[in-house]
Amino acid sequence: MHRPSFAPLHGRSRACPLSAAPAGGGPVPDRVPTPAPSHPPVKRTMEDRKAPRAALPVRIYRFYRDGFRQMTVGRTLWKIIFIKLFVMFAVLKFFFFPDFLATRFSDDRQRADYVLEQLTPSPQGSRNLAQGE
Amino acid sequence: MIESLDLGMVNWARGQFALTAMYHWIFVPLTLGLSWILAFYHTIYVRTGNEEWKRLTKFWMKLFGINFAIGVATGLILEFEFGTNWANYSWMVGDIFGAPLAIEGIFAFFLEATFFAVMFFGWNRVSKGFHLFATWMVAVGSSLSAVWILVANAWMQYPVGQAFNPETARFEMQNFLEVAFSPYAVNKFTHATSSSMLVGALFVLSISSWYLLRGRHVLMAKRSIVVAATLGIFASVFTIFNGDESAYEIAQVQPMKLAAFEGLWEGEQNAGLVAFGIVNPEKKVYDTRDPFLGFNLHIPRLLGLMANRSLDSYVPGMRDLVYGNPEQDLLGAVQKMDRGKKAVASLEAFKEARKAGDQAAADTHLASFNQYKEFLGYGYLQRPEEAVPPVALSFYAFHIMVGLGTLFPLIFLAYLYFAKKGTLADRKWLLGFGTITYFLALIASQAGWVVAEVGRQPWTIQGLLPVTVARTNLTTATVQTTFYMFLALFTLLLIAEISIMVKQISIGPEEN
Repeated sequence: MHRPSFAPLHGRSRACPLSAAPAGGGPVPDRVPTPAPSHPPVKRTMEDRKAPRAALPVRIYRFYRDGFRQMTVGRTLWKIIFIKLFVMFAVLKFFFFPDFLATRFSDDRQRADYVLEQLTPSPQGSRNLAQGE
Repeated sequence: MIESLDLGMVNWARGQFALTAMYHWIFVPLTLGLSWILAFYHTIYVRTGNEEWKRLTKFWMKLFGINFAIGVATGLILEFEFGTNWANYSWMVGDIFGAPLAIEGIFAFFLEATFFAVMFFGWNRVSKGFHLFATWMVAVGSSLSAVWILVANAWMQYPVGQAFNPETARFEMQNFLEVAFSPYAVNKFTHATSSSMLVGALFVLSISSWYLLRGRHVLMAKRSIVVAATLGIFASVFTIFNGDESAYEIAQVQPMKLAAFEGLWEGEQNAGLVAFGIVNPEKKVYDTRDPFLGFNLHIPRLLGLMANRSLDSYVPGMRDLVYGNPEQDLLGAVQKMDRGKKAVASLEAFKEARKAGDQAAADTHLASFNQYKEFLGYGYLQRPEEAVPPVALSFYAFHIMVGLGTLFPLIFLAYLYFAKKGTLADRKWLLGFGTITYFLALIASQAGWVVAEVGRQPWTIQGLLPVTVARTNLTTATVQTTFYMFLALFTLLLIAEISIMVKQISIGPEEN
């Protein structure tokens, strides 16, 4: 059954903080709910109904394509995202954050041996660390 | 090697991780919390068909998207730091973290990202039901992402389901379910999620309060507040309960952390909970100075209830945990260091025997290592006092978090009360205060992580790997350089990104 888009789920007579008019008779709300739906239903003609729909991958592609095209604020955000990712991967990761073990050792055996060396003190070493941190 | 360690490098590496993690955590709780609030707004729109609810939902969805986009990739830096600054740690936990982080990346992220696009692009293009489903899936996906990261962090605090393999120098997972569903992990997830809901609710409250103060978008603001405050009440109660449960878990597996954030230097029977106090910055675990300066307020016996679920229980203090307490059957760091050094010595002997090809000797030393391996981390401490984390920072962070967390439900109740009376827009004092509550929520949320991570010191993995061993052997200058780079880069990005958010807030929801 079609329900008008402006009709609340429960009756207007029941006091509810979600309704347009505050229950306690407070200040007038800033706008009156409009009865018109935001978009009238599209009437498909007989020809439309007979025309084959595009394949699912095509429809998905168009969905994303049209979505990105209609972005406004999102475009600026995507630019920032790409700049951030570029700086992180092309600059920071490449020049300043190499994976220490991956770049210095060629296999897991060597990496394990290196870490084991780090975990076990040198026989001649002294424990002369600074007091506290 | 340990003896050539530059402690300055360790501290700069810790500082860098803290900086980048806190930057990441500016955006994550809002994503986690606002995604659920958005799902409720969207549900109300679909149930009522009211275009005002659609306008409201689209507005908050836009802000959600901005926050999400800003936060994208902030977590990647942390992964970079693992490989560069914390190479030993990264290698040693690879087997444990591999599964949770892989699940997070493959499952949760794709779920979130797929439905994210449907949520934003789907208005008038997909059915209302599927569109609503997508919004709920974004909330679910965000939380599922959080699960696996929090499981990984929980394991660092309470390393269960593993066994250290000296052959590979790795902690190897023995029981995935034990890791994924450890009580520590479950509490950490529920607490992080519910507290993030608070952050989301207060974000809505703050912006809506600002609109009401300016007499703009009044209906939208009121409706937003009512739903957010209602959810906020439930989130507050849940956060308090699971926060208490988290404290109980901490008392069982990280008693030093609890002692630090309560400023409990000497263990006590019937210990009281500190409601207010100024910790003595000069106090050390081995001296007899007063733990607090001036006035301090304790709630009697409550700490025992929180820590052990018993009003009459003994709660160990930092001194007990450093030097031991035979009367209470407590091993201190002193005793654990003795066993830990045996573990390290056995590990070294195993290494040498393996190098020499002496399998029999290697097996013997391996057996000895296994006898003491649960104290491995203590074998690397130089002094037992190193087992004490930064007390002042832990104490203040905990009390700021709890104090604000206690305030938030009162704020939500006040908003709902005046909204019910229909006089909310007239309460300028409440609305004015409300505009800053989001920042208070951020402070509380960050403070919680300070408690978790500073209270964990000196451990990267509780009791098994101190930060001094977890790090890569780099120079201090290397880490300093990247620290200042991050500071500059993130500050610039934050200014640019927040300006986008502020602009959209000032524009407000789209007009019909």
